[in-house]
Formats: sequence, C-alpha cells, structure tokens
Amino acid sequence: MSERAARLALLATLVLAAGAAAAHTSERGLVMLLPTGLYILGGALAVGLSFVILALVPSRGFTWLTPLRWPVAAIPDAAPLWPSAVALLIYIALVHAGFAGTRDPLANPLPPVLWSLWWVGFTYAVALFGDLWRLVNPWRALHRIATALPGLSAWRERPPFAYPLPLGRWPAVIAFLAFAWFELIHPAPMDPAVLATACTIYALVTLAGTLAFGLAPWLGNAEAFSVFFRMVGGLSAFTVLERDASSSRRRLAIGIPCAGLFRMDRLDLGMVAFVLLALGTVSFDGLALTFWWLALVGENPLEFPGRTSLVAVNSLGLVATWLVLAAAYSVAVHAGGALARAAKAPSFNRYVMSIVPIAFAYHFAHYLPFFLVDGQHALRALSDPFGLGWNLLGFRDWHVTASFLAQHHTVHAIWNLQVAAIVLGHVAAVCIAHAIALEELGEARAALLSQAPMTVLMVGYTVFGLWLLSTPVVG
Amino acid sequence: MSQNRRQGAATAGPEFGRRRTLISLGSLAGAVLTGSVLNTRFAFAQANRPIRIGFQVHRTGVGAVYGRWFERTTTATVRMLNEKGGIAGRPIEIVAEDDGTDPKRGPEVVEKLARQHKVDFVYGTLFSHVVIASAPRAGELKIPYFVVSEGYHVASGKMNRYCFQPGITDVRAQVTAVASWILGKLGKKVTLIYPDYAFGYDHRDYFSQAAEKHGGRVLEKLAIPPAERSFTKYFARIPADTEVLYHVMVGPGVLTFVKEMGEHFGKKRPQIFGFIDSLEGVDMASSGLEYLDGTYFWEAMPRYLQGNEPAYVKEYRQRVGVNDAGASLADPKDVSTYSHMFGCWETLHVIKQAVEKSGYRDPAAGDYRKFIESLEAETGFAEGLAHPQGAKRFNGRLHQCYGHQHLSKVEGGRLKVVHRTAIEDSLYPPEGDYTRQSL
Repeated sequence: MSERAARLALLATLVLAAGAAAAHTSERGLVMLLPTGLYILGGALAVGLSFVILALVPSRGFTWLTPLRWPVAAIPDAAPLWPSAVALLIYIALVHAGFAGTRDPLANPLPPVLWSLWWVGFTYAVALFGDLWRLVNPWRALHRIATALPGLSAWRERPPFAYPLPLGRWPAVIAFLAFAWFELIHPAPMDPAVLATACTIYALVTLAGTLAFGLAPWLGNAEAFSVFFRMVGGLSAFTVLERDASSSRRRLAIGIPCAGLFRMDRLDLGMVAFVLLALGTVSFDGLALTFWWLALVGENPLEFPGRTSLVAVNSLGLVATWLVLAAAYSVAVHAGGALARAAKAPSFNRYVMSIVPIAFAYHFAHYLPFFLVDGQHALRALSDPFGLGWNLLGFRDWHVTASFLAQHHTVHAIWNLQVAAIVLGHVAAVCIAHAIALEELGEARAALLSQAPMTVLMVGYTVFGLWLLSTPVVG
Repeated sequence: MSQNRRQGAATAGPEFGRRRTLISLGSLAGAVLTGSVLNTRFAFAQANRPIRIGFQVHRTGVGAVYGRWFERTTTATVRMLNEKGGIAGRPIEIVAEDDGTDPKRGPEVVEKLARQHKVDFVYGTLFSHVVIASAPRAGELKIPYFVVSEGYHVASGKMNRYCFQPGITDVRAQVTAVASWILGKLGKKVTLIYPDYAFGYDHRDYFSQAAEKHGGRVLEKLAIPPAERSFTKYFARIPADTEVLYHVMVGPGVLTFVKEMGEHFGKKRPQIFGFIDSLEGVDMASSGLEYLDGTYFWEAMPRYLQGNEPAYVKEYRQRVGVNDAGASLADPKDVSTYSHMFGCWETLHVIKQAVEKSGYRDPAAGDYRKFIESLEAETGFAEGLAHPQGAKRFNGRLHQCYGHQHLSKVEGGRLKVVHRTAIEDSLYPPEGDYTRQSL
C-alpha cells in the first residue's frame, strides 16, 4: 500500500465512514469533454506566431501607431467630487449592511457587490473605459470630509508628513498582497461581518494615510486599488490628454488600446513587483483550486478540506507563485538584453507593462463564471439591501441561476471567451514588449532578439493559463 | 437569505431581531426607516417569540450547489409552515449562517448560532466532514443538531445524543436496500468502481457485505484515485464475466467517465448501476449522457414525475419550485438536487412535530430534555405532505430514520422508477444507542 493510500485509509478510519454527496460535477466537467489540448496548442502557436509577424512589421509602424489619439470630449480639469461622495455613501451603506444585515453571504449586499460587481465587474469596466477609480474612489470625499473638521483643515493642502519617496509603490504592493491574501486564503472573505470589518480597517488606514501624507501621494503610491486601476486603465482605448496652456479643460481621447501602458510613467521597482503580484495572485487563485495542486499538498480534491486547513500551505503557495513569476520575468528580461547585445540595457521596469494585458486576461477569464453567477446575487441583494422589503432595482425576486454552467453550448461559449481573452492578452503582451524594445533599443533586429526570451515566457504562460481553465478543479 | 427575510416580514419574529440590530448599531437610516413599526412588533414578539432555527448552510465553498437548493427548500418549507400557523402557533424564523463547507468553520457556526443568535435548534448540515467536525460542538453546547446529510455518521452511534438525522436515510441503509434488487434482477457477479476515499469505501464495504448475504459475488474492486481524469485503463481491468458494473464516481470527471465507459464497452456491456449522487443537479438529457440510456440509478426521491404520485408529492414540487423534470420552475435548465433536498423539508416537519408533542418552549435544559426524549420515542413518520419522499421508520436509539429507496432506469433522458424498496430492505444491525448517554 502506498503512503498515500495508507494515509487515505487512515483518514477514512478517523472520520468514520463519510458518506453524502461529495464533489458535484460542474462546468469544468463539460470543459473537460472539449478538445482542450488542441485549444492549448492553438493558443501557444498563436502567441508564438504573433512574435514572428512582428518581425515582419516595419518598426516605423509602431512609432506611428502608439501616439495616435483622437479627442472625443472635453472634461473638467479636476475630477468632480460628487462621484466620490456618492461612492462613499454607497460604501458606508454596504459596510453597514455587512454588519447589520442578514448573515447569508449571498443575500447580504456587501459580499456579492464587493467581490463580483466591484472587484470583477468594475475591473472589466476600467479595462474598457479607463481609470474610472480616479473618479469614483470614496477616498477623495472621505479626505475632504475629514479635512473639513476643525484642526485638520490645514492638512488638506499641507499634510504633516512628506511621503517618503524611496518607498515608491511598495506600500501598495504590501496592501495588495494583504488584499489578495484576504480574498484567496482567509477562511471567510464572504462572511458579511468579516468583510465589513476588513472594509472598515482599509478605509481607516486609507484615511490615516491620506491625512498624514496627502491625498495624491497616498493614492499614487500606497492605495492598492488606485495603483491597480491605474494599471488596468492603461489597457483602455480611452485616455485623458494633458491640458494645453490655453484651456482650463482637458480632453478625453480615443486611441490604440494598450497604448496607455506604453506611455505609463513612474515605473519604479515597486511597480514591477505590483504588476507581477497582480498576475501572480490571480494565477494562484486558479492554481489553488486544481486537483493538481491539492494532490501536491496532500489533500483529496474530492473531499476538499475547506479553506481553513489550507491557510498555511496556500499562503506559501501565493508568495511562491509571485516569486517564481518574478524570477521568470527577470531571467527573460536579462537574457533578452544579453541576446540583443545592446549597448543600452533594456529597461527592466518598463517591460513589466507588457505583463498588464496578461494579468487582465487572467482576471477576465478566471472570474467570468463567478461574475455571471454572483453578479445575480449582487443585483438581488442590492434590490433589498437591508431586508426591509424594498425592490430598488427590481431584482428582489430574481431566481439566481447557474444553469448556464451546466449546458454544453453556454459552457462552450464561455470557454471560447476565456480562451480568446488569454490568447489576446498574450498577443497584446508580445506587441507591447516589442514596441517598448523598439523605442528603447532603436533598432529592429536588436528589439526582436531582446524579446525572444520574453516570448518564450509568454507562450509558456498561455499554456499555463489555458491549462488552468481546463484541468479538473474543485467547486 | 433574502427569501427568509421576506418570509419573516409577514411573521414579525425575524424582523424583530433584525431591527434590534439596526438600532443597536445606531444607524440613523435604519432607525428612521424602522422606528415607526418597531414598538408594535416588539410587543407582539415578546408575547409570541418565534422558534428560531439556526441553518448551518453550505452557502459558499464546494457545497454551494447543494446549499443553493437546501436554502430554497428550507425557505419553501418555512413559508408553508408559517402560512399554516408556524410551530405550536409560533412563527418560525430561520437564521442562516454560512460555514463555507469548511469543517473548521462548522463548529464556529454551531457556536455562533447557539450563543450569539440564541437559536432553539441547529439544522441543515450536508457534507459529512463538516457534520463530523460540527456535531461534537453541538453536543458540548447541548443544543439539538439536525443533520441532512445521508452520511453514516449519526447512525454509526459515534456522534452524540444531541445529533439527529430524521429526514433522510443514511448511505449504509441506501446501499443495503438496493443490493438485494441489484443482485436479484441485474446479476450476481458485480464489479465495483468507486473513488479511492471514504465515500467510495462506504459503497465498497456496505455493498460487499450485502452481496455476501444475498449470494452475490464481487469480482473486482476498482478504486480510482481522486485526482484521476481518464478512466479507460481502469475499464480494461473489469473482468469479462462481470454481469453488473456498480459505479459511484463523483466530481468533474464524471462526464468523462461516462464518455469513456461508452467508448470502452460500446453496445456489448454489462448491466450498469450507479448512484444519482454522480449526476445530482445534472440534466439527464444532456448530450454526452446518452450512453447511460438503459442503465440504472439509485434515487432517494424520483427526480422525474412518474405520473402516479399522490397529490402531496405534486404540492411539494410546486412549493419548492420544481417542475416535472426536477428542474426549477423559474429556470427549467436549473436542475435541482432533488434526491437530497427533501431531507430539509422532512427534517423541519420532524422538528415541528417534536416541539408540539413535547411542549418545548425555550432553549433551556429541561425543555431540551423533553424535546429529545419525545423525539427518541418516535417510531416513524407517516407519508404525506410532511414526508413526501415516503413513510419513514425512526430508530430513536440511533437517531436515524429509514425510508424507501428507488431504483430508476434511464429512458430517453429521464429516470423511470422500476422498483421501490421496502423500508425493511434498508435495515442493518445497529451499532450504537444514544439513549444511554446522559443529557
């Protein structure tokens, strides 16, 4: 008897004979019937091929394309305060519901709104329309209210401390890691009271930070979501143009999607760590549910032991995924520099922007089924947020269904969307890396050579991403 | 649980708890919105305190698919009971707490329900490892704990005197009941194919025991590693003289299992029997499942309406929102966990009956004693709207009920009942007696 079998037998004896319906079949069961191996091969080929095609595109094509922008509307110079104030009111109402509303994590509005509508859905919107978080984050209004208090008003313009510049984006990295840990590892991130407590703590930390160091420095460096949504906003075709001297208004422009990433400034090492963390966390979220991972950590995937008993091992896994990704990125960039024999070393910090479309593609693909189900819970819970019999959005009596995850044609459609997102994300990554290399190195051959190792990494990550979406998982 | 909230709005009880919380938190908005009706409801609530039933629900985690239908069934049951006057004239209030299908959170939920929410009873746990982890806490807190799991845990005698499973037959009884029919009708030479862990071992062991008793022979026991995703190599090990293939695969690999079984056997196949647990919540008419046509499944309660059911079965379906194919009335593609969720309905009815018979009023030791001793004195429950799955025999010493089981044949993407076992078929020698434990 193998050690594993012996362990299982012992477990069986210990827990008596556990009966009852164990793991159910799921949409993954239907995906497993598809020729996923062919999809993975095709995806890898598409990403590899995009690199070859880039070699044939004249370099001036890139220098011509990336700056293209067409103004579409005039917008106020400073973001108006009212969207932030409305967001703050909603935030307070949701946190209140988290504490005082029903304990059912899907009927209470806080968990489904925060996890599905905001963390998943709002991120989708930001990728489409640009960094809306700048407009609707509740922190601006919170800061304004706090600095309206007597004694604190002087801090609105002149905070008591200067933000320590050497820290750069590292505080945001730490905050995002804490957030990801809470989302992926904490035993009960859906529990309304636990979540409301976390939201309250985060708001208080943000308030303290913005008061101590000033609104803009804190949001720009330490507030995880301001940094995250600024990053994701770089994918959008929409950008805000700098104000010219003659006007008091700025212009909203439409350009080439992802060009914003190409122009992103202030790319310090902390930002590199942040982008890799964003990709690492969503990758690990997928990985941690696979039968492969559970077998690796010695758990029976058909009798998932629950999140609590995986806290330690998954905490390690989360950090390890990030570190492995960072190592792979470093090797790819440095190997590229060596291959190109360029006089100027390629910019380690800047290339990380090519990872952003991949991070978003993973976010999109990984959370899509969850978004489609829990989004319904969110609309339903929002219709009657305090359990008072209201029907604000008309969804109070909505029958939340997941049946589209049990039908061949809908599962197939969702799978195709996921595959398209992963492949497109990687193709975009190859293009952005190439555009940056062209600008940095100035010469097409050197740019191509410098990107060869990165392309290998991207092809590998495409395979990994599609494997994550097709291999057996729990849940 | 918004449905319960709305349910509660009609009964005063649930609203009382909610409003008290709102006020205590000093919510200006909450106070303004609720203050006007608070006083009248408060007075009513004092005079007629609701029966608070803590619902330990798998709302998130791997049990969420079952949890969704357990929640719907619970809501429907409470709605009906409240319409008919509640329990002993008192409204029922459900207090749901999610345990994340997490054995470590289970005991915390039990404690929270008992101490913080001060419920009268705790009910609703399904997944066996969560039951086994939670039950001891209920015993320590001395609060009656109603399991709706079908696991062989309460019936094993290894839980405690506060644990009951009066709404659904345990797996040992299920396997014992179907074995005689399988061996009598399908064949005596059986190969078992099951996942290599406790759930599979239950079937392996209980079926092997029963086979011995009924003159059958288990030719091969094929344990499939839980992480396996391809099954062809195991089919190759099925002895050629196998007359019946007994399978209980679960998890995302089930559909692949069926597909590869078809590829392996083709038209020349043994009789095939499985447990509906493999395909609970899955439309039997799904493409890819065609190969199952002509094979047999165990069902606790027939998912597809057979046409000869009594009126109360139809009323049960209508009240839990399920159509003739066992799918949701609101979304006919949303297939229910029909063979398990009736356990919620029946358990709540058992609680009601025991409260009313025992004169239980408050969560105090004396009242609990009366309640538990009264329930232990029960010998069975008659079929009817309170027990739509069928009559039950109740073993008060084991705290476990025993009911009829159904053997159904897949025909044209539906399950057609071909045999209903007698309650006696499911009985086995008892291994415990909770009444010896002190209260």
